[in-house]
Amino acid sequence: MFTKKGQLSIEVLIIIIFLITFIYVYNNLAEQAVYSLEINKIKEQELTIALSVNEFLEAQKNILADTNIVDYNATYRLPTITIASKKITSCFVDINLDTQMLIVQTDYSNIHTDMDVNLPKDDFNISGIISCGETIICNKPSTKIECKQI
Amino acid sequence: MMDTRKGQVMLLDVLFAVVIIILMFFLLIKFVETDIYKTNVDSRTEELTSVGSLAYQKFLNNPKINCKVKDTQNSFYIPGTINTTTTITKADLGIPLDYNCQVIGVSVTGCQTAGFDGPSYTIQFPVVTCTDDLNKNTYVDYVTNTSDPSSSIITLNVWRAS
Repeated sequence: MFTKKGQLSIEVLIIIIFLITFIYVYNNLAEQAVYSLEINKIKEQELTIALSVNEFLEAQKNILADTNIVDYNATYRLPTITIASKKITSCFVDINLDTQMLIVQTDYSNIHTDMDVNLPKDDFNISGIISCGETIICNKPSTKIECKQI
Repeated sequence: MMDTRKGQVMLLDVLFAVVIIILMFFLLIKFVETDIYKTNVDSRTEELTSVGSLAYQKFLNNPKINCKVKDTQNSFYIPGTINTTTTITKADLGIPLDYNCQVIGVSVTGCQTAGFDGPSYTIQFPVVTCTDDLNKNTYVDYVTNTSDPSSSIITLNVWRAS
């Protein structure tokens, strides 16, 4: 049998253990929830960038078919990725004409969005990666559309 | 005896409060999960709509397949027209490899003949068709309703393959 004092100490101990466990679990779950929301927001914005870049490049195909156009250049400024809780320092678009893949990547947990594209290698020459927030310029010096970051 | 009862009541109050907070938190997690699922579905829908909309635009405004009007000095392509003698490919419509398409009304190389029952982007639109470059007089006749050009209804269906 416990004395009254002993019983009270055990109750206090139970409450303390319970509170510590509660704080640990709560903190862990809260971090996971915030992480999931951040990834979600980044993925959303990466998709917007991927779709807009693809749309811009698809529009350039028209220039190849139109022989009336000889002197041409088009520019598009890529959007940036922002989330309220963190600063995204690195974000870029990589277009691989061999694999026909457009990849938008950030430095946040290596989250990236891949998208299949249909930009024939014979029609395009895209040099290097394009950073978010920067401008891409496309022109037609020969029979190919040449695009690069300025 | 009085002190112990108070202690028990307080302990129960704290336990109940903590249990309620935990339940509320799991409810919040469920909302977050639902929101993330909704965003993922929206993303896929947005991508499909973008690919479908782009294909539709490239049908209407694409010098490779549009009808051309020429006179002795100038030439230009007319949006919303299709030269049916040209070979239209899936690439001309900007449809990526991981998407399938079905086009009714005109032949498109790379698209399927059978449709898809699942989620897809479908649009039906009229186009003027031609089989050769138009001359200026024919074009003026069309514009002034002196004669009617031949036309066709195109049905474009785009869906994700995987």
